[in-house]
Amino acid sequence: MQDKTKRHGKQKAPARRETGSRRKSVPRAIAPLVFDPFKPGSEHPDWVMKGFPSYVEHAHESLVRSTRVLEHRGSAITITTTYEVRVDERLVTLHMMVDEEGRLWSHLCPYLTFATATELVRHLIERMPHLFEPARPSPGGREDGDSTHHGEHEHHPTHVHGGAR
Amino acid sequence: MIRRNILSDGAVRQQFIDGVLALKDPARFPWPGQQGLSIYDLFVAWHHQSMMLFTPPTQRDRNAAHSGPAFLPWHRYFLLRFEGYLRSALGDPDFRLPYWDWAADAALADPRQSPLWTETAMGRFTAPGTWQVRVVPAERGLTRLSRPRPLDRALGRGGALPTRDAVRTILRDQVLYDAPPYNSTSNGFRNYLEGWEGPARIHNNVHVWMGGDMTDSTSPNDPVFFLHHCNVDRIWQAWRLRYPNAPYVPAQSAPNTLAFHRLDDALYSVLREATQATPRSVLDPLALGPPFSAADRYEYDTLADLQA
Repeated sequence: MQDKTKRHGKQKAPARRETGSRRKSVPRAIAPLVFDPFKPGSEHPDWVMKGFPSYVEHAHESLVRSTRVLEHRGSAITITTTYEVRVDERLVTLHMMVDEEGRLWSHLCPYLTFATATELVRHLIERMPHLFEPARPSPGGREDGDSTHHGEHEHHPTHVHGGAR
Repeated sequence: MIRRNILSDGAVRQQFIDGVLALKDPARFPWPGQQGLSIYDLFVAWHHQSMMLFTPPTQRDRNAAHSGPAFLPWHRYFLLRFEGYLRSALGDPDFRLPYWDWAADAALADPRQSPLWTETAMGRFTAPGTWQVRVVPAERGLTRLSRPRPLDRALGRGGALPTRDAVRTILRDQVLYDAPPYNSTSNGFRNYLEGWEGPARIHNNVHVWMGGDMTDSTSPNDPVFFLHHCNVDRIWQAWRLRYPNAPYVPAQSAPNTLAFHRLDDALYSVLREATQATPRSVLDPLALGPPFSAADRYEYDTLADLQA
């Protein structure tokens, strides 16, 4: 793995200021819009969903297929790369993409590129083991991947999937 | 109001720590509709979601906040709003984010020995009793950990902190803000500072040098994210002052395939703004446009190290 390149004085002693006791008024912080990054179809706020529907509806499954269009001595070169990766027999997509130099990357770990798919998958297994845990049926018979309720997790293994389409 | 070096102002350092701990607390700053999560976690999710939005979806490089012209204005906007929440948490309208001058640490024999990583500074955030990561990337979105885990760092195991000379080189040589095709292959200051071009890989290399959570799309899980990007923002400001006639590009007349990145496009936001923030609105920290007010303005304590 390598860091992603081209996808190509003296310390003063802390002097704690009293916080929360100032008399000057502090403008209110801006409240969040309604969006739910853990719920399929609600990952972005309304202004994005309605203003850019084609941006938010792309199929994640297609991310394993990368097409590079290059030019060399006047010839247009198109290279399409498709990966099929299974971990413990389960098909995973992992947002794998190929950059212009043929190196792999994933926006799960956006600052890194990898020479091989093996390196990328190994990195993600070590860095994000929760991605590879088998989904267990919830009491209602659904997989964790369908759960978007986060108040109680006693029946879940170590995580709740979110954003699955 | 002045943004200062976190290692030269102990009071600001303590305020930053107190502030992020407050924002992380769901009881004090709850994320509406997300039980058990806080406003801090919302900022983590906001960054991740920006990265998941390819702009446009017909390509696999530029997203709403990275690998494109909006990289610098979007992160300035992100920091401004985080800074506003910190002011609320601290009850201090004069508070401004501190920055981490990582080029100074790059000159140390062992940057891992920087005072930044001591228990009284940012080292405390790896203590499981102090800080827990709750929101992490999922295969197709975000995941809430039902059992939050400690923050992960792997300082110096990969990458390298950019040197002062490397930063000065791009400030000197990159006279255009950005250039077609406005992605990670572009020439121009933005792409060199972001780190897709050039040997120093400036911004990206700091994420890699820190390792652990800082290498993920949920990198704001590490509060050092904000100190790092504040320094990136400082470098952008130094560049703007050096080349005051270099315009932000692309202009609004550029094709709509560059939506989210043109001068007057709305920056990707999950906040209820009265007026949407645009690249234009954040170009000058001392004259921020709507939705910002005079209360948001800032400047840096020094740019002298960036001017040689």
